[in-house]
Amino acid sequence: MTSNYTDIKNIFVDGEVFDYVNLDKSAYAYERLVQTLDKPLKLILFFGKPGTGKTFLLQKIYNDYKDKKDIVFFPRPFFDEIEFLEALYKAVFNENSPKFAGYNDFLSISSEKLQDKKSVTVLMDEAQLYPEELIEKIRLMSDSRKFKFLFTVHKTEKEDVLAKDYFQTRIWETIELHNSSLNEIKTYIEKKMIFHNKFEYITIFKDSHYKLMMKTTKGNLRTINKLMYKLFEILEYYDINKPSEVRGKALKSKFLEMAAINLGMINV
Amino acid sequence: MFNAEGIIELEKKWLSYKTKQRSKLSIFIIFALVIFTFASYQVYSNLYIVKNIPKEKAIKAPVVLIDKPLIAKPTVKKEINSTKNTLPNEKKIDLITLDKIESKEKNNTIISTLYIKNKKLVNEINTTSNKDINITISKKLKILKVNYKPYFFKLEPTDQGSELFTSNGFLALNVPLQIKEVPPVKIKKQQVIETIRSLTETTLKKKEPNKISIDSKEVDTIKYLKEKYYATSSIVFALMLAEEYYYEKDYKNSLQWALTANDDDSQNTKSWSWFAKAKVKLGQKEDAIRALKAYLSNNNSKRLSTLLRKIELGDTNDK
Repeated sequence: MTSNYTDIKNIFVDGEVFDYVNLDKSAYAYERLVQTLDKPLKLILFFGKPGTGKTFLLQKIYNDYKDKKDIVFFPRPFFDEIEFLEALYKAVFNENSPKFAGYNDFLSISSEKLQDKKSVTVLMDEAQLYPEELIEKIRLMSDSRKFKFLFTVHKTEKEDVLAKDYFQTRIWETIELHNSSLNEIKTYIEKKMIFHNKFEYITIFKDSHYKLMMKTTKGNLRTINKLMYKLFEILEYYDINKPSEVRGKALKSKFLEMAAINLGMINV
Repeated sequence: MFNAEGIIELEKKWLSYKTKQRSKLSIFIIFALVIFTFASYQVYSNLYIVKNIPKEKAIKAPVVLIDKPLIAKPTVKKEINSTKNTLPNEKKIDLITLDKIESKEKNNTIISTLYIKNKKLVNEINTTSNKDINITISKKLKILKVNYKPYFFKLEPTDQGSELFTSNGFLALNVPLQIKEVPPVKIKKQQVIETIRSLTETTLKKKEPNKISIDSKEVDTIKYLKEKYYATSSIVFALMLAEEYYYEKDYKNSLQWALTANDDDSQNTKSWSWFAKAKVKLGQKEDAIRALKAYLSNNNSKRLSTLLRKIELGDTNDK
């Protein structure tokens, strides 16, 4: 048996579906990032708390500019220098990489191939996971002006130190992405629904629901996705097994609370 | 997708969560109610206290134990008999305080101020019986703070209108009493003693002989009497103030205080007496005559009849 809620819950599968929702904060960050990429900078630091939408933003920039600029996006980190250099070569020149002895080797070959071309922009997600030595090599590569790197870093207690101490002296531009506000959460959910043609389900959420979402997720988009997925999973069960419970236009707060309890966002 | 067991488990957790939430809410409501009740009680209590600030019980008459005229000397010793705490109008004495202050006088007598509350007077006298007590009015009197009672009179004391004297002889008082800071006035000892004595003579009677010697000093009598009046709202102090001002030749104030006293007890002949006397001194002899006649038309008073006669004869002698 299937339910109407089955499709909706899949909208909120994090990372699987790319449907970038343009929120106020992300629109601002997007504009700044695009402007920064046009500047003659060597390194850019883009940071924010986990789940604020950094990856999605990078993904959007990549999708928007991949046909217009020389741009490369690495959504997952590299821990080995050679592996990174080979992946970069393949992404930039669209051909299999030769064997590199080290980054000097890579730099000389790629500089020769690039010649008078404008610098290649490399978007690197989860940059805090890259080994320190590799980061140092990347910095030296940026000095060649053949490559421009955008590091995306999680801003947590621990990683904040990394962002400050390690990158600060070399980063020429920093951009921060904050958590979403109550209105942004509302916009996010509504746009997600509209994007997937689920207009009729937008009205099930009331202000009290959004407030509860804000309270439990602290405006973290990734957590909101999890909560929404769980909510629609619960609704899916009731829709199939106890349809009388989910009748009516408005969502019962009970289901949202159950979802939050199940995810440990509410302690019982 | 969830299975039935998973949902049942989740529902149980949700119920537990709601129960906790409701109990928290109940505790909060109870706590808020307790706080509210307590706060309300406090507010009510404060209002009640403010409303019922224990006014000094009205002193109906001061009692000063003197049975013979005092001689105006720095130190005067007189035999004073104990009193009967009743006034002609049968109002009891509420408060008299006794405050003994040592004197630097030659005879080392004790300066005292009497404040005796009800029967305390008798006790005080009993304990000091057969002893000489030097009495004086001290400058350092402990005056209780009280709210000033605004007094209103229906007519200005100087009003010549017919309202001034009602058909039943009551003075209708409706003029706000202007409380003025009176500069300290040094009065003659004789006047202080006379003031006290004149009231005492009419209000007190002998109970049993007690030898009390009185030591008088120069004090700001008016200030003291005003403070006492505002503290007690007693007609006695109003009358004393009327008398004090009269002898200070401040007849306007004397008139006001006579009216104040009359407001408190319109049957008190002294208030009529001081009113009439002050009116005469202010050159409003006709008012004085009309007032006394109005009173005497409904009441009998030998004192006021005599006074009326004297005024009509043009006798302005204060004695």
